[in-house]
Amino acid sequence: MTDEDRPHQDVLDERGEIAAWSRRAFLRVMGASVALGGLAACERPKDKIVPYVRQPEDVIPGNASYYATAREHAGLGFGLLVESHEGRPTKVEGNPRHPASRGATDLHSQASVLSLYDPDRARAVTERGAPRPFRAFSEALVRACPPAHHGEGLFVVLEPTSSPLVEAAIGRLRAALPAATVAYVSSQAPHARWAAARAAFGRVVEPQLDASKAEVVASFGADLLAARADTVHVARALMERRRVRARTDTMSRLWVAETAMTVTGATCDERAALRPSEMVPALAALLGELARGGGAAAIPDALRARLAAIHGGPRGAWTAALARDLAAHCGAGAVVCGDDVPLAGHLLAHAANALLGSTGVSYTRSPILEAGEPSHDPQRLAEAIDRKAVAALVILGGNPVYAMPGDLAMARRVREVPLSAYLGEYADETARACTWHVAEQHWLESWGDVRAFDGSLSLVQPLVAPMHGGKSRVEVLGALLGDLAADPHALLRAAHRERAGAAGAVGAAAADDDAWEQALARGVLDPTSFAAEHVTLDWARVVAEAEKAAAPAPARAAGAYELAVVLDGKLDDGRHANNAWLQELPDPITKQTWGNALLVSPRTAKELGVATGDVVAVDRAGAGAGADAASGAGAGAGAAAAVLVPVLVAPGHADGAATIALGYGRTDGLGEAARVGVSAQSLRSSVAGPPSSFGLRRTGTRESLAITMAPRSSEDREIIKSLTLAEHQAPVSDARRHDDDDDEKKQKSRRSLYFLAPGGARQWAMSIDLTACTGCSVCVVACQAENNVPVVGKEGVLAGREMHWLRIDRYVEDAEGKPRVEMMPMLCQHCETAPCEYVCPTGATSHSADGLNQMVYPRCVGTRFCSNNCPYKVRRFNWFDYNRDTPALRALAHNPDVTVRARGVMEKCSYCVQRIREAERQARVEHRPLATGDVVTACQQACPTQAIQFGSLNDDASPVARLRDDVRAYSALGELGTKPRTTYLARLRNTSPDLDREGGDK
Amino acid sequence: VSAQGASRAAPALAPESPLVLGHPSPRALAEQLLRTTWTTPRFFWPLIALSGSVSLLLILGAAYTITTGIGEWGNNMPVAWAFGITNFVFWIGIGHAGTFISAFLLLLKQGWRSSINRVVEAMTLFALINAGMFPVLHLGRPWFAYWLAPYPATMRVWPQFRSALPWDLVAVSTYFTISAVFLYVGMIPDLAKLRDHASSKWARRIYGIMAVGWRGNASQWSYLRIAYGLLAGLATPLVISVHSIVSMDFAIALLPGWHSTVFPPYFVAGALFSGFGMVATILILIRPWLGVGNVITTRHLNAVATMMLITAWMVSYGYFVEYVLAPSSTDPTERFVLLQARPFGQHAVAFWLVLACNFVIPQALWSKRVRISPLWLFVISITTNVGMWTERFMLIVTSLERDFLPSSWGRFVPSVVDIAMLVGTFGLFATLMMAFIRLFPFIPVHEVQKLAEREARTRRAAA
Repeated sequence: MTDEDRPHQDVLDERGEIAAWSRRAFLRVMGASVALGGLAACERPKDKIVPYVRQPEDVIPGNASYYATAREHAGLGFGLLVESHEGRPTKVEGNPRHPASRGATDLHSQASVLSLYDPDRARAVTERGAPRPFRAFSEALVRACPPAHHGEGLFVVLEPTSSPLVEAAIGRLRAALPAATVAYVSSQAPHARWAAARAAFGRVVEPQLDASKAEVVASFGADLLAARADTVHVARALMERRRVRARTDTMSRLWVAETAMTVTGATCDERAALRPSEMVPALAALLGELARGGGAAAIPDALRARLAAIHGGPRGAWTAALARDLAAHCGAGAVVCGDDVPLAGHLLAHAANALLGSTGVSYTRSPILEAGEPSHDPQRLAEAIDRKAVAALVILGGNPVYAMPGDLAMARRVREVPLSAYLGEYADETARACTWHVAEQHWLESWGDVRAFDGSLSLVQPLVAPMHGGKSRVEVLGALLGDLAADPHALLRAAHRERAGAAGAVGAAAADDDAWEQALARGVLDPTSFAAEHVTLDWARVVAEAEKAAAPAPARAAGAYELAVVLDGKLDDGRHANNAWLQELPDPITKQTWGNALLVSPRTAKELGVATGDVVAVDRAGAGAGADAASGAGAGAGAAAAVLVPVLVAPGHADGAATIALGYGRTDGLGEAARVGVSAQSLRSSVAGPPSSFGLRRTGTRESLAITMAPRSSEDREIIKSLTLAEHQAPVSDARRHDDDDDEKKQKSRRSLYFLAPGGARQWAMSIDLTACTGCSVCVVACQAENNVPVVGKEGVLAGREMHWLRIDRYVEDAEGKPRVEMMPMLCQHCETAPCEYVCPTGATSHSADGLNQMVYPRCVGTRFCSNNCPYKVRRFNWFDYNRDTPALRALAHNPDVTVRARGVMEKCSYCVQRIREAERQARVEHRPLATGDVVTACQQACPTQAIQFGSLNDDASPVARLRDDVRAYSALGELGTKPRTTYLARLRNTSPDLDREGGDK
Repeated sequence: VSAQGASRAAPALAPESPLVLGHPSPRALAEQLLRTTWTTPRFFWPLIALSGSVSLLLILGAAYTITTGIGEWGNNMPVAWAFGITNFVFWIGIGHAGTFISAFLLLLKQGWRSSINRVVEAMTLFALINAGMFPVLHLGRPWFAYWLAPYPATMRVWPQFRSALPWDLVAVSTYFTISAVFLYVGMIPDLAKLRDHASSKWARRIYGIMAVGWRGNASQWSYLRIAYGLLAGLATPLVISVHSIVSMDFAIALLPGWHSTVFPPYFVAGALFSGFGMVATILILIRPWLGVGNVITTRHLNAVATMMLITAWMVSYGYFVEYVLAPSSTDPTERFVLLQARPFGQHAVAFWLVLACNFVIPQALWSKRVRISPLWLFVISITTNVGMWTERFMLIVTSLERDFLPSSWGRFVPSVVDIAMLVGTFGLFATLMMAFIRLFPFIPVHEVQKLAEREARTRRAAA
């Protein structure tokens, strides 16, 4: 996309209203208004249409274009294809060529379209709230840090990144101002992981899990399947090894030790709930078991003996079974450790992998710039400010004032700096603390590049011109040097030319243009992923750490609780707090929307005498010994105050501990509705140390939590069919469980006395593999983005009026004992004999010839009888005119192919009928039959694990036709005779035979 | 079922005690019964002001709902129907006793109906006005309510006739039409009396137009009797059919707790039960207020109370059947709704209140002392209607709250608008009743005169 074909920003005025009115248009509307004045009651919504004056060559109104780009998440790249309608991006899909996305998407990418059109985004450049030109900003900085001083006192703070473009800009800055300091500050930097790599291997390398090669994957505190930069890739790879088709197929086994239940824990086969402090001892015990069981790695015998002497651990039987399982699949096991686990845990995980000779884990250098270097230490900045050594502080994104642990007292410290500037998308907490604020470009507005977790380099290209005069990091870094002409596009292009030159493909300008266009179109530059590194482990260090970890820990003091402060799966560190789609997305496990809570196990809740919704005070003071050990020097006043937070009883949580998500309790730069939840920053510490304990006190007050589904069991109804791999492989299982197996019986069961309209050539159907579904909920946001699903806010959710067409049902079996979480995506089942259709008095919901249960919005009067009669309760009702107050700017995010529903009509999943019809039109235009895979629904496209398949039953090549005849296929509530077109594949768990024999580990 | 109930009810009435007390002359009767149309009864203005302001709650609630959205009610997913439909079923049910008394008992030649049939017919009509409002108001887009009617649309679209809601529309509108015509036709001779006795010109003109030239000659009486009989014949099956069709709004659904073949007779019995409860309430209130104790006697109260007892047993039999059969259901969802969600769930209070009001308390009516005691009967008539409203609420809401997938279970909490509109219906009902009483002869003078004459003849013959 070139500059010329971007829509001009002048069309939008300050409030995002479409402003460009011609005299003729004005007169026309005026005339019409007068004429229709008497009919004001029957007035139709007025659409303002601004046609192209000169139509860009490659834009056909009504046809979407797709552009490859990439989004940065925790410094790493996620390759995307963005759908654009007449110059406005409306939907984000994964780039199949990109290693991190492989065609699927993550939550934040899906939801980011909404943020682009967020009316609350900051505009242009301001100094203490007053608008200033960018030039003035540059001059102010140059004045504060004149070149003559070589950048003395200049501190540039940015989030860890892998962008070569930013690297080059920093290089230029350091060359020009050698005394300036560049610091990488992030709430989510994996300091322990990097430090452990340095301790184990002598240099910073990143462990890369290839779950598709692993027979046994063990995770200690790592939420592999959610909220990480490489989640989509890991989930896809894991499920590749867990896809069971033939009865003889096998699947890998996933073991998870974690504190709070996560989607990884819900997906796994064997789970152990451990307190944060138990992670490292558990890993030490595992290592002990592995050492006793033998192993391939070259480890000196003396050290092996010392390891073998380690016994016990917090969950002995579980760890022993895991060790046996890993040993049995020697070489095909992988042990991974979460970023929140201390250094020793990572070290022990590396050792376990080395001991096993795991092929599932390889090591590459880190794509993050200066990973593990002192420049990533947040304390350095704090110390420099305290020394009064900072004359100018330039913060490039990340909202550190909110997102950094409370003990850093960033708000106070930033205010102490004479000149502080912030590049950020919102006028948030950091912008408030800084003197200057430069609006940052949304990633859909900017040029750049970024590396994926494996080093693959992607280009970031804008889909739309910066709407609010935003700047990029590169431009601001240029401005520090007085260079206002720093053009990321030109720099990127030059860098690309240079890379091509280095690769030996130098050519004429035309060839260069072609290469550039191709690179942009592909989105990912090919031979750029990092090669695996050969590493050797420092066994002596490992053994020392293991022995230290295995030392018996002091018993937990009564009334002292461990606290895990984790990144939120939806809001991350709070940067997505103003995204209503993410706020309203039910948390995959707790199903909480619009807020956070303190998660505790049912037993701990009983101990405290609290229930879900009771507000407790969390503070260090109540916990007695060692309470203030970690709060460190200069702890702000906030660190001492108790945090008042409602409890949410979360089955599966470790006893004696609590978990709270970051990202909530934001105060600045976001809409009123998004100011929900409680900030847990004051409970965190920026200093690595042993998990500190906290006191929890009841306050006696209550708060209502907007939870869409309480942790409920399926009441022994066979809604989710779940069986172990062993049961599945036993021949008796399908006779018992799937009695409608043989074709004849199936045919019979499909017969009906009822007259069924003859079907068309294509019969659409969906199949959802419950084994592959992790419950990550990306599909929910994808559906919301595709189908213009409105948000209803916290009050709406509390009233039970959430509008998601697709929801993930989460059932918790045996909540008080050994909880098992089952996930089931629930959407319109497109029943062949749909109960909703016969009760509709106006025929507003009817059946199409190709098997779709359709909603005719204009014919719907809103009796809601259809919803009452829907056994799946997937129908959603427009209780109010949810779109009436949508700002014009926000409305640009709507998908133009889908009706925006009015008040009083029912809506529900349409199987993305707009995509079906689009594919049919395309096929007709091209004079070809519709091919298998031409129609991909939004949920299917977004699904990281390809759990959702869609296609025609009449198409033998379609996976859906095949999957419907799978022995595991079943219809939800099929006994009602609704004949759903959506079928599920029963969930398989590859439980450990060792633990099964022992009757499970409690 | 109801016909049997009625015939069984007949012997319970003591034929000895007269239905018109104090041997009044026809002229005295006419003067007494037409008095309310000439003079304002005591407390009339304060009472109608009170009920009028209560009915404002309904009107404002409706206006607010129509302008803002149905979201102002407490309904949600999964409880898409709640107070609105409960009110609809409740008020439709109230109407049934009126038609039962005026049409069913006319065909069965039950003389005691004569003095109360006019007021209960009015009750039917006003209950139907209350009821008919709710299916429209509870729509997402009430302005398109007419799409449920089979009218020749230019787009040639028809209602979807497999749905029970167009049946409902036909049933309720038929019922309304027949009830209105029946009330009017029965009133013609009395309107003529009003015309003849009117003191003001305007009253004479208006009543004169309404009396459509009634002269009271033999051929007119003969036509009237035929027309009245025919209308009674038309109205009688409606007593059974309308609430059967209303019950199908639920019974044709898959939803456990709704999907039940017992619903049609059970709903009809429930409708009569609550209707007779309302009849008792009204009779007990107007007897002392309007001084008509001589024509609405304890024998009437006894008859109405007996009907309440019979229909209470029919309703209880419905409960009994439902709960005896529930444990043997193969549908775990149905077992759950009936055996757990209703008696022990979040609206358990409703369940036990229903049992108390509709089964336990009506047993007091076995005692004749209670049946003829205005105070006790009044209390029971109120609990009856509390119980029957709650029963419909329980049926509708608890079933929706606990359906097939536990993932979609929810909770209904009524909003302020919900409660205001419910209260407002009683205000509107009372207002319309009082206005009717003030403007029209609420006791059919010609029928009561005839009844008094017949009783006098019988007395003379006995003497």
